[in-house]
Amino acid sequence: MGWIVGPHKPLEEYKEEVWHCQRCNWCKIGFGWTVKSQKYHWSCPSFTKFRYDAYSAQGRMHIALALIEGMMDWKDSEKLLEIIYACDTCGACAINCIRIMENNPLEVIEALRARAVELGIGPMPAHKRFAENVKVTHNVYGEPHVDRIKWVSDDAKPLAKSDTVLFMGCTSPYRRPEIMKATARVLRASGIDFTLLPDEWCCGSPLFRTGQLELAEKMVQHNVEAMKATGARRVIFNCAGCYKTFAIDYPKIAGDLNFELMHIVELLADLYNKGKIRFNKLPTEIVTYHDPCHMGRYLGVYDAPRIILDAIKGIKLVEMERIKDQAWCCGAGGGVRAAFPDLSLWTAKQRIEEARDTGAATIVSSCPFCATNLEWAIKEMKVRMKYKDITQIAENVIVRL
Amino acid sequence: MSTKTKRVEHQKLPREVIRALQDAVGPEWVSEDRAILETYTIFTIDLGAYLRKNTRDPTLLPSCVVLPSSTEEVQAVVRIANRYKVPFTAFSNGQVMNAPAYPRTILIHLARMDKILDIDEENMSMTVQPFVDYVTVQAEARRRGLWNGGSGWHSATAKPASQFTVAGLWQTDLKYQGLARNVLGMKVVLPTGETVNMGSHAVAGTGKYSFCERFPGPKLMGLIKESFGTRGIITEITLKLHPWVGGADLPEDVSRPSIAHYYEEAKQKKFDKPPPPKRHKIYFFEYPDLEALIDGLLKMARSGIGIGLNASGLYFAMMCAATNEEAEKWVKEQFIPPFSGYIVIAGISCEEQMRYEEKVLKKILEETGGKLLSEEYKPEVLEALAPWNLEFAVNTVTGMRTVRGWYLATALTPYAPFYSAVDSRDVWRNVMEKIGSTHSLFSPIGATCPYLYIVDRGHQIETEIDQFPKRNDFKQLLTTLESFAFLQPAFIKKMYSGSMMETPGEPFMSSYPETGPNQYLIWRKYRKVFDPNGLMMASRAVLSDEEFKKEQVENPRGAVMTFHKWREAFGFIKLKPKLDKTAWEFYPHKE
Amino acid sequence: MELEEELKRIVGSENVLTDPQTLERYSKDQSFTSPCRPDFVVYAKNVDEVQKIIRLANKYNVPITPLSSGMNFRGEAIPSQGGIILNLSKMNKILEINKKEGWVLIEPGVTYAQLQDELEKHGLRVMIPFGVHPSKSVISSIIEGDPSIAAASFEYGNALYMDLEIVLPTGDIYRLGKWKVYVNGRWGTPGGGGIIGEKGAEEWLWEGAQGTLGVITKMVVKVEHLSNVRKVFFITFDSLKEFVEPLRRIQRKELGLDCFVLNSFNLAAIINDEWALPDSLPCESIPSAKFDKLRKKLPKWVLIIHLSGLPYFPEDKVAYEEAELRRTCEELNLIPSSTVVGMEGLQDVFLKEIIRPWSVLKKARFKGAFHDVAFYSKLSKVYELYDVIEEVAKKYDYPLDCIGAFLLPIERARYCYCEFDFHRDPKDPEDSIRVRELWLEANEVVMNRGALLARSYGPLAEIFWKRVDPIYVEKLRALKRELDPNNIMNPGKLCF
Repeated sequence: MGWIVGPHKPLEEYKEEVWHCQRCNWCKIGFGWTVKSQKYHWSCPSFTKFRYDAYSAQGRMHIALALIEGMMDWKDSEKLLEIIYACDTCGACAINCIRIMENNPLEVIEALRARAVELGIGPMPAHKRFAENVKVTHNVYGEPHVDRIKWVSDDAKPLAKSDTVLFMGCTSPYRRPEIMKATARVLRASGIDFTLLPDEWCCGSPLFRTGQLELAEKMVQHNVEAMKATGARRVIFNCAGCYKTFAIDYPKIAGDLNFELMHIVELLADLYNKGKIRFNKLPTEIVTYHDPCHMGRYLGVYDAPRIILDAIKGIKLVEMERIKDQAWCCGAGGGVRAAFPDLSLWTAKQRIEEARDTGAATIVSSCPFCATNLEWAIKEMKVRMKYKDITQIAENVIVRL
Repeated sequence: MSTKTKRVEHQKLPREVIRALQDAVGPEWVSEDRAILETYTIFTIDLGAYLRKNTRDPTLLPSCVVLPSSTEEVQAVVRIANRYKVPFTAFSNGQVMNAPAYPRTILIHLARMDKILDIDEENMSMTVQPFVDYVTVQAEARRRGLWNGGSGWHSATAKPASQFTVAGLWQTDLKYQGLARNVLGMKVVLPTGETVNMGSHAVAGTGKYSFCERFPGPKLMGLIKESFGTRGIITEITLKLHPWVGGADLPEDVSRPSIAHYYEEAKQKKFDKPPPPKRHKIYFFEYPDLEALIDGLLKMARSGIGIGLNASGLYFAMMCAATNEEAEKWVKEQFIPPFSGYIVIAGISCEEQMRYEEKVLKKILEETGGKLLSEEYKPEVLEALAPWNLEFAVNTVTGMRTVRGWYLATALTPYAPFYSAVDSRDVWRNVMEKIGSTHSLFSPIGATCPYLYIVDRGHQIETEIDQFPKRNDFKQLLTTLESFAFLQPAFIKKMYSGSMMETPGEPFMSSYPETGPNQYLIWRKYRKVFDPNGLMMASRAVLSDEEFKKEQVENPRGAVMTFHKWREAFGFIKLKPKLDKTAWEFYPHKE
Repeated sequence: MELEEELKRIVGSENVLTDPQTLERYSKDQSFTSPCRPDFVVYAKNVDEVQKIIRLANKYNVPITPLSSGMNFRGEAIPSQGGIILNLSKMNKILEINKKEGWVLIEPGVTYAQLQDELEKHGLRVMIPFGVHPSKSVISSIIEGDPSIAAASFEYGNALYMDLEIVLPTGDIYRLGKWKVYVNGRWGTPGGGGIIGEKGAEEWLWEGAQGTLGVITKMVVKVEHLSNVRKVFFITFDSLKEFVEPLRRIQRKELGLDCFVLNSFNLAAIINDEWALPDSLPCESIPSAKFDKLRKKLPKWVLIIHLSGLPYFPEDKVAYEEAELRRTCEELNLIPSSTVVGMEGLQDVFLKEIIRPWSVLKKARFKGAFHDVAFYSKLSKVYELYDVIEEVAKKYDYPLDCIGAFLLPIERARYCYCEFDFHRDPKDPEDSIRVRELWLEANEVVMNRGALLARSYGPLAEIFWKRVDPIYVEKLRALKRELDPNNIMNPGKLCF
């Protein structure tokens, strides 16, 4: 096939790819070598929940085939919009499909969404709402733009100028300020100077993932310009979604970005490996680590968070069955949390149960959107489990050397 | 093939049928939605279905999809189908033998029936529902120091319950002999809607699930095997398990891939290199030609060593290469030796067993002129074959990569003596000459060395040779169909019972009274008993009297004409129908 | 009589027997199956004759009971409606031996003794069931499901046949397996198509069918390497319960080829050289003080395990298995020994016996006739079921030390085949009545406790088939009607 992460193509140009889906069924369950039990052998949240093939990557590929070949029309189905949007774009299908078939159903799913938007059929109403928010207030939540930096405090303060930009994203500053603060503190404690974009807009990820490409492009253009204006050499993220969007979607539109991209966990792991920081001991805590889809499976950042957790004495990491490229999604992404809260919560609950089965008291991750969804599940399930971002674990014990 | 758009519409069922189905399983589990139906029209290795897809055959679309959650619900749905005389088909993975054959078909998707019902460690058995796959069975069995001895080729996602009705070949057939030998019992919803236990639990008081496949009388399970999903829906199947010493979890791969960096990581060989499970080791060997390879394989098989023994040759290029480009390169350069195979040795008794078996292997290689791949000899090839360290244990995962190259199984010479491998290769070469089947780089594979499965301690071998037609290339698909039509008489002429899993279904079944002989007439009797109303895709297995009259005698379809054309070309007797046109005049040992 | 004339025309008059003594002989055996005289005993010499006879039977609507060997003792070849006994014992050719691939092609009249004698010349063995008579038909035994002595081995001791040739109740030939092809007057050659993986398993329909769905006229039987490096080990127990865990552990390690358990009664019968193997049953009983002495001397239960080499480096194979066996036994505080109670020569006896396991039939000399309660059960239930059998025996005042026992783990002890014998004096009508009732009740009782009967011959047919899923029975009957429209093949058997 030759392509894995290609430019956004119109749906028709995926004709060869969709015919290539020959129903091997690996988009529905975990990669065989890694499956450890029946309970946790599923990989695709929407198929596992809905059980009709249409809700799997295979189903969506074949629907795309029918649309491309004119065997079916968009208006022939009442369920079509729900089918193409009830997918959190976690990529569990894609990693197996790439590895076995050299095919990427995720791109086809996003192409279906883009076409739905073009035709005025999509996206889902909730997605239109957050697009409106982004247009007006430059964040998905519709919160005042100025409040994006409300989290800033003396001990978590950016510099006016630096060649390292901390990209905040929307969820951290507006919904998880404690993670934002922890990130800033960790940077400060590591001796890393950073600044913020003076006028940061939403990275565009929710728009990309829901097929609203025109507006998404505007985010890209704005943010890239803003980045250039700061003279940024390096951009740090604490949100997996923003990180992935910059790494993958931005170059498709803006060409090569002339700054380095990394997640805070990668930075910390690198500093640790180079002997520039260490961590003090913490009281014993059994934790398990949830790989955020966008950073883990999509970008391959598996080791960095584990290096950090391993480096902190007192932290005992017990892995879940589905980890790294086979991690089960938190259920928030792809516009699912907004448009299909039931599916989103159900997915997160599966993950929390899996976390609890390890015996861990705390589930750790490195994405504020995962944080939001997993904490929601913990609350609904009324179970004794904490959620912590890696920065929250590291912030009080990091020592600069 | 017209490229003009042409919408394909499904045929609707009467409302009362839909209402009855909704009452049976709940309204959310019945769907007539066009998009949902669409996703049940493509099947991995179903040539006929692909041809129909390309010609936009509307009967390929079911009328509705129903997802029952229990045996009782399956039974209710089947009863409704019988009541209203609506054809139905059962569906799990949709890899083969699932395509609706009639208009207005109810498609019963078993996706909700995914429970493990029972694991009996003493009996070494596991009873599962039809949507439980081999990956799951292996994972749960391994935790208990057991395994089921293999995974269905195509693939570990396969569901044993479904596979039982179609196939059952495993990578470890050398010792475990595949699915038919590994089932203790089942519960079946018959096409009439009756439910029956098959196995020891058919006898009241012996337990909820079958513990023993032996039976003091005829075993009906034998007629469910290879019934192509026409004699009943298996809603529970009890699988045999065997001792497993490889550990609860399979070893970790050296690293895991990611989506964005897959190609770089593949180039750097960052993954696909797991170690074998403990107390297991896989040995790869090569031979100079097919005859020498067969000689070596037979000796190895009959020597009693190993749990899995197959010759995969260039097929490994497809399975072990992380990209198709790399696979094609390996084939072209014959980087994977064409006459190569592997044996898996396990220390089930003790570690010493592995040393003993390795000693035997080396002796046999020495005697037969084979060479072991090792650190000293072709280590780069050995490294490339590393995925197979785990593939035998929970196969077929990367083994499924054959589908990346458009794999569509064409011919399997059914269980036969070892020389059949040479016959397979020769027949295949003939195909390529006659039909001109060169539409893929991988077509020549079979002509070099078919895939050889060594079965049952070397009592038998099965060979496979394949074609790889692009699924949206109608011409290639037609060529493949013609090769099927050619292969069937070619193998029968060489006195093999056919080219597809021995019992090939229609239209082969009724076109070749030579097999059985008159096997199609016996199968009609089975059809009468199991599916008197002819609702469960019965014509897929064998034509009824009336269907035979129409499709073989009075008004044969194009495909059937092709089969008869090749019959003639191979010098088989010209078939003459009996007076009533329901059978051929064909009398072996006629008085 | 027209039928008789036509039969004689097909097979020759010397092969059609109607004399009363012959018919009487075929009307019964040592079992409790109700006697029934056939009208003819007809010997067929080839498949063509078999076909013709069957067609004739259809024409005259006369039942046929196929019989492949003379040594049956469970009622399997006694007709229920008279008719023709189709005796296949003259079809006794070993047609082909394929050593390279490990199979033989045989006719139904080939006996175990005949076959094993021939195979031994080639260094091969066929897996023979424990306690069959040497004159038992191999085909008949296999197709009726007698478990082989090597059944503990998943791959060597089970699923013992491949290709089949069947003459259907209509007289047509039906073949399953590699050779099912008939092209332009020529048949295919055998050698593949057994119960394995991918292919169909239609042949299961004819297993245990007692000839009701057709006559097997040829079979490809698997044969295995017969090593000259073999060892037998004995492990003794006082109670049946004790052997469960050791057996399970040994089998889970896949140690040994053949493995079985005997009680002192059956073991004594094997060792007792005062008894000769009977030629027919019932037989003459021979009082034997030696047997009585042996019974008391021998351990109550003995587990026998046979280690056998493979074609290459057989000593190494046996050596590592022996070492592992000893290690495993040590964990359980057991010692595998090469004999029991210091008896000399026992190793040799069993090395021979395993290959030709019929000496145990000498047990019939105890009283002249025996009746086994034979069933399959999970391992852990075996001693419970034995307790229950003992309870029934006590009820009928049957001495417990006169129950013979044979237990066979199947497929690494996935489950177990059990055979418990009751002995009777066929000349004593009261004893016969008592043992009959005891035997019937014991069969019912073990079924009530979840065992699966191994055979449903004679009076067992009724008590077994009434417990079978009625839909299963209905489908079998429907298949029977389709395949045997005139109901001539062994009618009245099984559930038909």
